[in-house]
Amino acid sequence: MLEAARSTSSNNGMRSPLSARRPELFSWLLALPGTLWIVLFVGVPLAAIVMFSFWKAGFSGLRPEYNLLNYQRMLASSSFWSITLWTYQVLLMVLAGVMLLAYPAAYFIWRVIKDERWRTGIILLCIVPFWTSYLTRTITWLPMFGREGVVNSTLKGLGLIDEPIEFLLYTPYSMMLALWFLYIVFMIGPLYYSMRRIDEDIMSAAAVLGANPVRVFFLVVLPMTKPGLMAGALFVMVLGMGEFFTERVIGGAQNPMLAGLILRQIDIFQWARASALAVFLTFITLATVAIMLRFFDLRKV
Amino acid sequence: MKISYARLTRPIAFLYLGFILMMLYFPFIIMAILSFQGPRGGHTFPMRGTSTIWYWKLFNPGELTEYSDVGEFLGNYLGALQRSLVLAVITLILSTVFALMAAQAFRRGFRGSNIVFYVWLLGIIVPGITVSLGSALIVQSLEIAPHWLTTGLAVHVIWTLPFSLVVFLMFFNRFDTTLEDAALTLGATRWQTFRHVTLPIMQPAVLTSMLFAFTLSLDEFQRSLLITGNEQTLPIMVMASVTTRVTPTLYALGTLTTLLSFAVVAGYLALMTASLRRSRRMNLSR
Repeated sequence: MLEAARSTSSNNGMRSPLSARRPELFSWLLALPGTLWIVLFVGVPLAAIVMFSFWKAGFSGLRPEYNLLNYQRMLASSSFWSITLWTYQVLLMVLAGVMLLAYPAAYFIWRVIKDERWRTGIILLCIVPFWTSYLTRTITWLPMFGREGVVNSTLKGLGLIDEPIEFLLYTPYSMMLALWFLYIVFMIGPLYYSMRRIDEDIMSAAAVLGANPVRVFFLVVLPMTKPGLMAGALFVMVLGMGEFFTERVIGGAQNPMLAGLILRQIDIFQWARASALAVFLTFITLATVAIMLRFFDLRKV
Repeated sequence: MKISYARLTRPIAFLYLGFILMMLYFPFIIMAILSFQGPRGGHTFPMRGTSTIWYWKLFNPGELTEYSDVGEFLGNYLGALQRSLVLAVITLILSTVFALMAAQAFRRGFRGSNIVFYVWLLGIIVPGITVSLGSALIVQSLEIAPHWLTTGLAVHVIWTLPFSLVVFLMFFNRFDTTLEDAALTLGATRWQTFRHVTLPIMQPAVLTSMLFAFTLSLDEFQRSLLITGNEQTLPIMVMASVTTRVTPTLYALGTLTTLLSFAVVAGYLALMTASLRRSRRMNLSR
């Protein structure tokens, strides 16, 4: 998606009469309302929270006495570091799982299903949950777990287990399973889109030149679907960084990630500490996105 | 060798796709079944009889019955749904208009367009909890009363704007300017060209932007969590009730709102098909 946007903004080579006649000022005016909205309602709160993170916590809210105490406390706390590590562990597991689950799905829809109508239908079915409520989708996973949950009952019914699996309720395992299938919708769509853009001729050329299907896959298909994987991965990482709902509802609220930790500080009115944590979370989210964009040049493909 | 390979892949492929689709939709079905849980039943299996009491509770919030429970969440979900729908409609209009304007600017290119693009992406990238906390603290120190239609709207739009913009940019990426040029050459004003040439061609993108903005706004809770004020939107109310206690009322609500979402998507697809068919007939799309 980024790649598409970037190439548009840099693609000024073809000048139509439209662009030739319009002054740059007009373009600026067109972009202004939305840009202003974002600056006002993202930029200002962001700046404010950086400021508040240096304030002192008082009895009735924050006091404007600048100090580094919030950060010193945060960085000295061992639970803060273990939660940061845990956040990345969860996100990398989610990302790996989502990629492994989504890739075959997108690939099969692209290669195995021949009828265009069926193809469109199935890819649509894979994307439609994106447009339903994330909250509802999380809640629907509740009855799946637990001693008498659907997963345990099914396994028992199939004769695979005798006793219900205990670790399937309010644990990191159930959270992970739910997150995989909650986040997979962000990956299948972009992946399939990038597969559709692969030229059939390149595939045939590789085959004619003697590459077996495995080599074609690793040398042609995989590199060419990198932008799709990247777009999906960005979605998973960015939205995962802000994740606190699934952890609370499905994960049992025992192992918070960073966003969940912030929410817990807010719940006990520790705004100064919450602000410092929020600054940190925002910083590492931006850093993660920057690193991902550096690693894979989206404009290449 | 080749035949056996092909013979094997197809069943595996269909089994796998079936598995993925099952994992995506099976939970919805379970929720729908459990929404008809008996009056004494809980939010998980087993079913203790069947009833429509949870739907009744949904439509009659706060009314005590013989089945009322201590600590039961008694929020008025339908009132919240109404607010959320109003908010989603306003959000989709603002988001689509602003993003379409900006996309026109990006298409033409201007100095600093790269930076402006990344600023827009901040709407998605900056964690919702940061925006929410920052806004809440500002609102608090300025002594403004937070309200879903003011502070709520502000953060709903920042969440949907980047999605709308990317939809338009992807569309403009394979946009043919020949017709616009022809209109301008034939003496149409810029506004006439936009109104009668660009906008009709853009119709599918406008519809897609509207779908994204509407559905994303309807479900927004991370950014608006701390600044919707006393009258909650639906997602905020659901958040609150889940953290107190889950009852099958939530499943009844979830079932109805999911059906609503499906209806919205179906409406979108119908409009989209009609729009694409028309443009094909007019030979506007390649």
